[in-house]
Amino acid sequence: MTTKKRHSLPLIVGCTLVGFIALMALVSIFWTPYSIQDMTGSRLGPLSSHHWLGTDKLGRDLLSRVMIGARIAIAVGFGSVLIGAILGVVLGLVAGFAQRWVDESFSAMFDILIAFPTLLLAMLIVAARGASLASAIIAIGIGMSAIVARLTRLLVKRVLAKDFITASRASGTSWARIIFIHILPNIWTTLIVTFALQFGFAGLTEASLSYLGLGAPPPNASWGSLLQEAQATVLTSPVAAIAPGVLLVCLVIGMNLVADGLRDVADPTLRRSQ
Amino acid sequence: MKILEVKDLTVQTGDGSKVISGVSFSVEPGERLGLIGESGSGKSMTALAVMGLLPAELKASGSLLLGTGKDAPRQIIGAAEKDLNEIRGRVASIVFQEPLTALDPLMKIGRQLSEPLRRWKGLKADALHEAIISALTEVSINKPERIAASYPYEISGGERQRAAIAMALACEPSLLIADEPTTALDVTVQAEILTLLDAVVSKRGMSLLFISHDLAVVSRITDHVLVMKDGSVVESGSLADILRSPQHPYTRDLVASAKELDNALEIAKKSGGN
Amino acid sequence: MTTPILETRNLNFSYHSGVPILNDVSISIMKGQNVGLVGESGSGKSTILRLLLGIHRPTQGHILFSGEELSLKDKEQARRFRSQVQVVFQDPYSSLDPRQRVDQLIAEPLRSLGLAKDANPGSNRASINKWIENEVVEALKSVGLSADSAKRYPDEFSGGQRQRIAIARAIVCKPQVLLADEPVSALDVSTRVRVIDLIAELGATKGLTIVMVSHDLAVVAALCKQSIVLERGVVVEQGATATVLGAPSHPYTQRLIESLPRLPVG
Repeated sequence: MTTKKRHSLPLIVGCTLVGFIALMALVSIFWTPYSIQDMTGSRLGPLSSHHWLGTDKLGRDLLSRVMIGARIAIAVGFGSVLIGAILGVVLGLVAGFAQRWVDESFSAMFDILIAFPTLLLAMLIVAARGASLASAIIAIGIGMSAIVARLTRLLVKRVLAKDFITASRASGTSWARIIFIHILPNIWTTLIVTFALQFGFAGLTEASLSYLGLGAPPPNASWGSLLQEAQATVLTSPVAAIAPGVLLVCLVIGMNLVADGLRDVADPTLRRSQ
Repeated sequence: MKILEVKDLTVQTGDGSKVISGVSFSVEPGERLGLIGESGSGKSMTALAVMGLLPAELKASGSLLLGTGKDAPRQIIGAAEKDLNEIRGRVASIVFQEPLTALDPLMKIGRQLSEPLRRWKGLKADALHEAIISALTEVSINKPERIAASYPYEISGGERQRAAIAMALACEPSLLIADEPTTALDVTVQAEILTLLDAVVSKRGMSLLFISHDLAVVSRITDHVLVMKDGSVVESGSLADILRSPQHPYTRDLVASAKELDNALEIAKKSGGN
Repeated sequence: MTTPILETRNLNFSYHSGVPILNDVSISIMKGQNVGLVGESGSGKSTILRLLLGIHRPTQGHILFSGEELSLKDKEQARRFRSQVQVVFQDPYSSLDPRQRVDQLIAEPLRSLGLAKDANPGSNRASINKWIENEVVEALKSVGLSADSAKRYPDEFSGGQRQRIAIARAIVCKPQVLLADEPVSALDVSTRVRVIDLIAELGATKGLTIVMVSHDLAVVAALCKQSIVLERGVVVEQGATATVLGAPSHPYTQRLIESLPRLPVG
């Protein structure tokens, strides 16, 4: 397309922030300074050349734990966005085509699910499946799907009102084909922006769940559980709380900037096609 | 003493591109001037510039003097909002194309009309109510009581436009600007509104600046025209001259198109008539 | 008496809310005779077009295509009907998918209606695509656009050009009938005449019967030999355009004609 490649500052900064965290996560798969089971360091030790971020209250290297945490944050982001996207877009498509009372039922359903606190939903799922990373991802994904579905429904209705859909029907195109060649291409840029935003929120929600003990159990090193562990000693050994906290903030802000940037890049086309 | 004198009006956007370049024209008291152009010609922007209503991101330069007689001519370009408020409605007022968006959807017609009447004439209670009814009667509204008590969406497009005209006339301006006032209306309603404008402007001895893309409509209500294209005036003169011998290639194209359509109508009528 | 190519008999239509739009509308369109559906807002003229296109189903009454009752449930009949009756809409900005290239847009009827396969039985994908490419280029040339427009996107074109693209899409499957809903109302005046001339030319050279909805009597006079005047869902007058314009019998038609803004004589 003739979109002038506009260099979006938010996109660049956002990608850098998120990229840094993703890199950390990637590296952690192959190598961390110490194993997270390794409790050889002194308890709550200071920053040193052996332990760049010091050690936690059990003598484990904090840097290693933070790196594993990055891996978990990225995994939660992807997993929950995948569930939220697939479930949400499918439901949203069905709702977008629905008319009158069926449509109103769908809208009500989405609104109820959105109003339902994700933490409560997580507790229900943990009660059913036990606390684990997968439970957290499923809970966050389901909560997200309602938001995605509501947005998708709106976007689908907007596209269906356009003459080119009627023209497509008049050309004999089946509804299935219309969905793939006309509807999805016209809504995916707006959806991608939402997915980017939700990715960051998913990390935040997972941290809350871990903090409350609803996430993956120890020796899990998600940033949320790191924050929870550092709670008691935050004044004497602040690094243990600051490191995961700052990284979490970076992830959320980074993804928000990526979302802004994507909107900037995708917007010219959308604005032009009014 | 001209009521409106525009000299070298130029309007630029933030990045330097010109929406209007070097437009000059004037309107005598009691004169009717038509402004013809297609979309993107800058005709509507010119109307907004005269009223000092240009959007904030556009910069106007040149000279725009409005006022005569009891209102000394005032420079509109660069004027303070406070000074502009004294001119708007009293010296010049404007009627827009789409009455649905030009009227406040949440206010009854009577109340919208009462605003200018109360402000300029200091009328209250019964006197105000009488003034509202008489204003609505002047624009040939049947059942003015019912219209005054209705919301814009409850009345027809023609009635809405009449109400908008009544509001524009409330403060007895010397110049009425009409920006495509009949374009959004049905053909039969259009004819009625044009007749109304013709009558009201004559009765009050007002000047009229009538903007349209339709030569036939403009010829119904004005005698002199300016032809605009891409932000500049390409031709000006009496309607008769322009129709008989257009000079500029764009004007020739415009006149030829209008004549071709008019001829088709004439031929059909003649061959079918008795 | 030849069979009308499109016909409605006692057509009634209301939306689910119950508001009646059309009341006992019976019209027939003969092959080769362009028809103008004239009326103001609320006349139901656009609704008739959508019913003729099979987008809505009548609440009561019948729609016939070449004498057969229109029943789009039958896949074969639907396919035949759609390849014979095509449409052009009013708004050139909403009738083309901004995410598709011009050649994809124009080729859609050929693909969806299986016309490519019909014309090239047993051919492989490459030659079918080649055939489609040729048809698209031919359609673009018929509407006065160059072949290289095919690889571009709609937002690179002006309103008038977009309307031409929409017309190219409508004629690519060589239909018999072109339904046009206010095809020039959203265009600039000078472009309007050019597109009207194009439609007239295509009608003559490609044997198209044009059914055009318009509120503008001048456009109808330029294009359609027959006219049908509608007022609030009811047919008030129909016949030769010349007669309807020159000697209208119904008071509404008279009022419509009197309201027309005309250029001064001389």
